[in-house]
Amino acid sequence: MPAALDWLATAEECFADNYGSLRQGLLTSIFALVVGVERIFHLDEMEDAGFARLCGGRRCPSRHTIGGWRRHLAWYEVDAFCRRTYPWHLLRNQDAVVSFDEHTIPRWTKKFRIGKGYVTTRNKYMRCEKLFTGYDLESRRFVSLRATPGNWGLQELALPLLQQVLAQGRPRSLHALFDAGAGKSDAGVRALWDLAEQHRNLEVTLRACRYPHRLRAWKQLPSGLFVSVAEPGVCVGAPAKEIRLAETTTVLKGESPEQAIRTIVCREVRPGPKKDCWHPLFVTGLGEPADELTVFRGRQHQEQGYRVGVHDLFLDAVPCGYDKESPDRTRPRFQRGPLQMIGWLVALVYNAVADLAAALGAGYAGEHVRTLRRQFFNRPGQLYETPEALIVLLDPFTGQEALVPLIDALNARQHRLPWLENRRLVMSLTPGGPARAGP
Amino acid sequence: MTATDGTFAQWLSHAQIIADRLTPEQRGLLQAVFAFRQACGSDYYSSRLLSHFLLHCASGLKVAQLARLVGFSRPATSKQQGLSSKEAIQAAHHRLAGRSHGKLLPRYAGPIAEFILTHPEATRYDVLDFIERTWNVRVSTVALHHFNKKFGLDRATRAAATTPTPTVARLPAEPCRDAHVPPVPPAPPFSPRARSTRVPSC
Repeated sequence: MPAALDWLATAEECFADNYGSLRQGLLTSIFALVVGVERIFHLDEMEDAGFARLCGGRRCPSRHTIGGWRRHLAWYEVDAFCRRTYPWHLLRNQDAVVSFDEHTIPRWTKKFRIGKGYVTTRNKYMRCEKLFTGYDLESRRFVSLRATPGNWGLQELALPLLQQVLAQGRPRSLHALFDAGAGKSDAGVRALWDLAEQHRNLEVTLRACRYPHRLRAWKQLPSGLFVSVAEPGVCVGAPAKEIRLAETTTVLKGESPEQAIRTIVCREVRPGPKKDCWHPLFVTGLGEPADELTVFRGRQHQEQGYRVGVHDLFLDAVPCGYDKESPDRTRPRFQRGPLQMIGWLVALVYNAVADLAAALGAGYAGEHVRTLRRQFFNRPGQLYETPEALIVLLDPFTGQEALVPLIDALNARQHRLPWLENRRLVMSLTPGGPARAGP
Repeated sequence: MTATDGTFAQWLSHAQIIADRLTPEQRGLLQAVFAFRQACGSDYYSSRLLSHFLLHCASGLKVAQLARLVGFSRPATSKQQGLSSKEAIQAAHHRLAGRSHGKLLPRYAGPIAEFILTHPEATRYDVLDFIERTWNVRVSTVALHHFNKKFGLDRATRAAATTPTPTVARLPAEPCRDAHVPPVPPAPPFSPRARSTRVPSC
């Protein structure tokens, strides 16, 4: 709730609220994600008094009000909101490692002809829209987001996203990680390398595209260049995995050998008849190949963040970006506002829930949204609305003691709810929760 | 005022009660009280029980006289007039339980609100007992009053909240030919009536 009140205050500065639906629209969009309302039309079935008060009223909001607010978000207002809520404090004066990647949202419209892209989870080329995010691997939080049509690629946005992080985040040093989409053409790779030359504190690692002619060249590297590294197996007792690392250079198209860029070739040896896997990396840094590889593998946390977003925060249910009111359905207009706003709200909720899990203690750090929702968010209780306060009394549940420090901190901040006549919000736990079963 | 030594007459004279003006019933009552004081002593519990009895036995003695007899101040004795026997005993317990310890935290507000609502006849001493029993915290009545007032749980706020506010009777609208009709605001751009994009020809 404290974070949501801060976002509401920011939104009130950014959005023109001509129809008075901003507060309910924003809070509903936030808390629907928190409590697990999968689709906006599920709001019609909500009758929970607590959810109604979370959403800025005394009655549960109508999906028409919320949907109308979402659909008419202007891109420049959404940009202003995003700029003010990007968590740049996570990067400021830090040695940051930020990963940039895209998330593809498939669309099944037949009526509108929108851009197509490759959807990896469905392994097909289909209509879609994309969200490009920056993800801080140290804190494991999303730091920036940009919504685009489906036919955009990471290569088009790699430079703007990177420059935004450098300018706004102002890290002491930045190690940027990109998936292969940022280097589909050699021009894209060169643009990143030029930027890295301009900024001393910038280091770029990019997974190289495995074009056949390049792969042939890497496979022909002398075996003496490769250093074998043993890695733990898939489980305890499993045989160790072997990877072989080599360091070479790659000449980009139309460039001279002097401009060749450093390349780390990772060969994952597969036992049996399976083919070995090749993972080439273009790097600007001068670190050891094994270290560069270890840093790049941290990018997996961003992919994990997307999975949590999709399955726990319904990231694929964000409003579509094509304009359904377009006069020509074969060339629909693209409206970035709703797609980017709700996508960024998903990221904000992801960050806030991760902060909450970290504050709960070491035993809860890194828990997924759905786990915390089951343990702490969706709990029955009583509401007492006095003239001075809204008192929330949760029914007893196992593990409620972990919430005590957080509840004390929340109560000490004396949050007031403007939509409930400025009543003070007070959270309480029922004393003496159920004892755990004995051994 | 102590009655454990001296005579009945001295006890009355210390309490500034003129023995000649007492009725036979009052004299008998006070002799019994004197015997009680002789037997049980003048500790706080005995004095409190005695004062509660004297205040409610319709003896005809004034509150100031009773206060002097048991050794309490006049205002304190006066405040005890409205208490029930249970409250008198709870107050004595509370008084002798020692100094307050602990603090009323905001997160106690929920269980306290629930207790107050499920026990509408509970006194403040009942609430204090509930708090001590639940969180092992002993607070003063003043602290409880401030806490309840802060969260709107005190009796006055609750009474004000439950009292229906008087509504102004609506007057019948008078027909007015020249009344200015405000222009109807345009409908918000939500939920258009029909799609403006053509559907697929298939």
